Amino acid sequence: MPTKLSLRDFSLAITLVALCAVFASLSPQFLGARNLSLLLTELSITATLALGMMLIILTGNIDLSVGSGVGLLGGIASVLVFHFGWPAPAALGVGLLAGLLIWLLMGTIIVRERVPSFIITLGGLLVFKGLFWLVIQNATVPVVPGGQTNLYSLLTTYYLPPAASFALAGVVVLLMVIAAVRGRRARRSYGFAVEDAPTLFLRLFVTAQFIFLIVLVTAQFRGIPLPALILGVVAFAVHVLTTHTPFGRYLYAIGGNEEAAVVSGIPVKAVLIGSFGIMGVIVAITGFMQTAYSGASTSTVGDLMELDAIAACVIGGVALKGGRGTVLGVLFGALLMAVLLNGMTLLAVSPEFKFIARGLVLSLAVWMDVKLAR
Amino acid sequence: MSSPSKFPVTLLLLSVILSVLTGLVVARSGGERAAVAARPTLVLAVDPAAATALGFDAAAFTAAAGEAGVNVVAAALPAGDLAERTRGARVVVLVAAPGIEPAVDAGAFVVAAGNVLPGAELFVPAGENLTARTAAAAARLALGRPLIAAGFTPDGAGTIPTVTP
Amino acid sequence: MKKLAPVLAVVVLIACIAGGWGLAHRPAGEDRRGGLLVGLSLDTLKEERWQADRNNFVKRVAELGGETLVQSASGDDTRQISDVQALISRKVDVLVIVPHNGAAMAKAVNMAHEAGIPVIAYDRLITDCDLDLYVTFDNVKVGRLQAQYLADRLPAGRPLRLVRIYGSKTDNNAFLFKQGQDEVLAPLIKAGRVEVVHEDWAADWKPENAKKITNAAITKAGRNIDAVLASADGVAGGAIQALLEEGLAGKVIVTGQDAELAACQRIVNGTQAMSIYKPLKQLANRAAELAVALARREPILTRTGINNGRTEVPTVLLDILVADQGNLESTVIRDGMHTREAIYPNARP
Repeated sequence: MPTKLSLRDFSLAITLVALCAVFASLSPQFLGARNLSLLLTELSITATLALGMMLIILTGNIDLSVGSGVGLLGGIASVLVFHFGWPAPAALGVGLLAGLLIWLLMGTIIVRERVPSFIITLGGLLVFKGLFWLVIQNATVPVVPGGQTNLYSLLTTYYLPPAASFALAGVVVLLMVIAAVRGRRARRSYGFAVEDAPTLFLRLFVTAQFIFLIVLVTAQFRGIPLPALILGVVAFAVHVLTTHTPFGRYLYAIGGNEEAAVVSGIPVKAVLIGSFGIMGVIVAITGFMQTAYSGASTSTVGDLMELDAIAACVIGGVALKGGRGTVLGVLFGALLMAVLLNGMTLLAVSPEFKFIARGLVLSLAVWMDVKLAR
Repeated sequence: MSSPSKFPVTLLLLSVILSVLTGLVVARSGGERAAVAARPTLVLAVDPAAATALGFDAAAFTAAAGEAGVNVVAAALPAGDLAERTRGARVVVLVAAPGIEPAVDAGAFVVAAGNVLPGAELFVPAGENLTARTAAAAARLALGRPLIAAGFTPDGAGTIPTVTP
Repeated sequence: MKKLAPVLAVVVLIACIAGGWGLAHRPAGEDRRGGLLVGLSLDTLKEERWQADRNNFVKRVAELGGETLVQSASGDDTRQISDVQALISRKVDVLVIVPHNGAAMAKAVNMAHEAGIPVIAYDRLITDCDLDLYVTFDNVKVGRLQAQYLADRLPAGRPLRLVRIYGSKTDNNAFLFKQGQDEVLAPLIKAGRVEVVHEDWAADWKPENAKKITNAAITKAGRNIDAVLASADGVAGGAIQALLEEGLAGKVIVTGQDAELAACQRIVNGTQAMSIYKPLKQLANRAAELAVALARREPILTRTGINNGRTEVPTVLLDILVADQGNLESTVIRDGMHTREAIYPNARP
């Protein structure tokens, strides 16, 4: 139940608040509208990838190739736009398609040939990195020729204006309320237990407050960044997929006990390949955002992003053995990693300590997970 | 209370925290001053006779500098209080008869347009489009942007960096 | 009680918003000391050279009354963009960037300009953007001094038989070195005083490629070579290796650049004639001074401009020196680039 916090959730929340407090006291600009807006963009890129990773980890698999994939798919789109003069939407479409096909292929190999996903995707990490460098010829390929703008470059430079942001937030909250009321009525008509009205009200109320708070903050710096909207759509889709569809239930079932899933007639192979297909699409979307954020495809785009995505999942309570994990948890995990990195960068902490701090936070989260799971 | 354990204390607490944050954010809205740098100002002192001889157009200069983002304060030469009027100005553009050295404020950066003036920090040689060339160079300096001055012009005592076309 | 929760929430909301408002309306503490803030975004700090640059830069800015925030991207372009974003968020007055990738950092320059912050490119040019200033060594002059060293040592009565080894074709600086060399050599070649017996580009500046080129030159032109015009010390080292095997080392004039330790040792024992010494400390100091001047919006004039694909970027070129047996003591050793013990390993009493 979302109304109850476990000891683990509670300590993570405290960690996040403490981190923010430390960063804000060392540099007041941490809470400035500009930095929060940037933080939201950085969070969106990491979290989108982490949500895809969650689908893979739920089944007990893992994907180490996503970081290289981010570079490769972004690079394909960049090259099509910059060297071949394609319109950005077409180039992005090709990138998406390439992501889907490559990951379907990887999923098929994992399922049909029974090669552990760890190994196949480790191979993918290296192969995609090499392909990426080949595609961009080890050069710098901008996402848009000579200082113009296109759909590609706008991915991280477009902001939904404040007025439109408020309108959008209003619509989202309204839809949320309607969906909640309808769902409640439906459950009651089937004779299921429903949560009591005040709790439901408060839950919606807090969510609405949260949404409007974000809109308020971003309104002070240009508006809602486009990546945040993309994250919102991806998070909603993954949430619906995992909690309201048979496919989602199968993911949890496979991760919980694969043999039992096979016995109970779940199309395990198709579901696994499907989860990798979705991962491919998400890698492509993340690749476009990350490349647009960098402004160009260069040989280092996407480096180590797979680790950030896995870290966000683990901190967010996704079990590496599979079968457990929620969208909200992953978003929280990604937020913790993004805050950590953003704050340390703002304080101009040297790279050595950034690595150490991120590693320690990750290790602590896993340790806590193991300890509390016993 | 039927079941006190189910009372959504956590949610209520969360709501309170969010409300305080909302209040904080609303209060500072508009507080984050956008980094709108004040428009810099430069002083233009023109000797009408010299300007006519050089084809220098003070009005066109002011318009061009304004377009580049710089305000222009105009003064006529000869002016006894030029040092006073150029106090605090970062850039002073002088269009004067050759060789004279008007007394400008010591802190100002002097651009001599058309005629070489001793002690000037930059010289814009006479010729085609003197007004536009001078406006571009002076506005750039007033905005605090570095300027390429590849040439050198002797001024008796030493040499003055010179804008080459 | 439970029925009251919504009402309670709304009341609390209003009270809290008011409370938050009240809290925020206390005078906001500004995060600014009186002095100015300089942002330095480095490609990497993993090399000794850049650590020294950082230290000199920070020290000079402090002497001028400023403070420096240093970021290091560890050779990652995306990280360097984030670093610059963070420096902009910290409201630095001026940005100094050593780009890992000069083309990729154009975006960083645009972001800084949107926030009204001027940008200096340090040592490496940032291309295709409206860069404010570029501070570097005079790379054309490097080539000119190397060639002039040979021009001052022409043999009497016959042309100087010369092997030319250029740098990596993917490095723009390699072309600038060649340009400077050509300025000096072209008239001499035309006058028949210099005869280029062999020339080639050493891919990736690799010594082994330079060695192959030198071997090819000896095969082609025989042993009577007077000089090898190598663009940098690494390449010179490769050439000298080939000359050693041929028994020619010390008899042929070999040029270089960077005053690397190995090159200084070769200069001492006579196998390499000269190198080009670039005073890195002066570069850091000059960049710091210009950064502070730019932050204060003081008028800055430069002698030269370099085209970066978008605009003529005002460029400050730092002078460089010839280092040979005569002046190692007064240049490389005095400035602390290498110790005397390191350069003269056998000279211990």
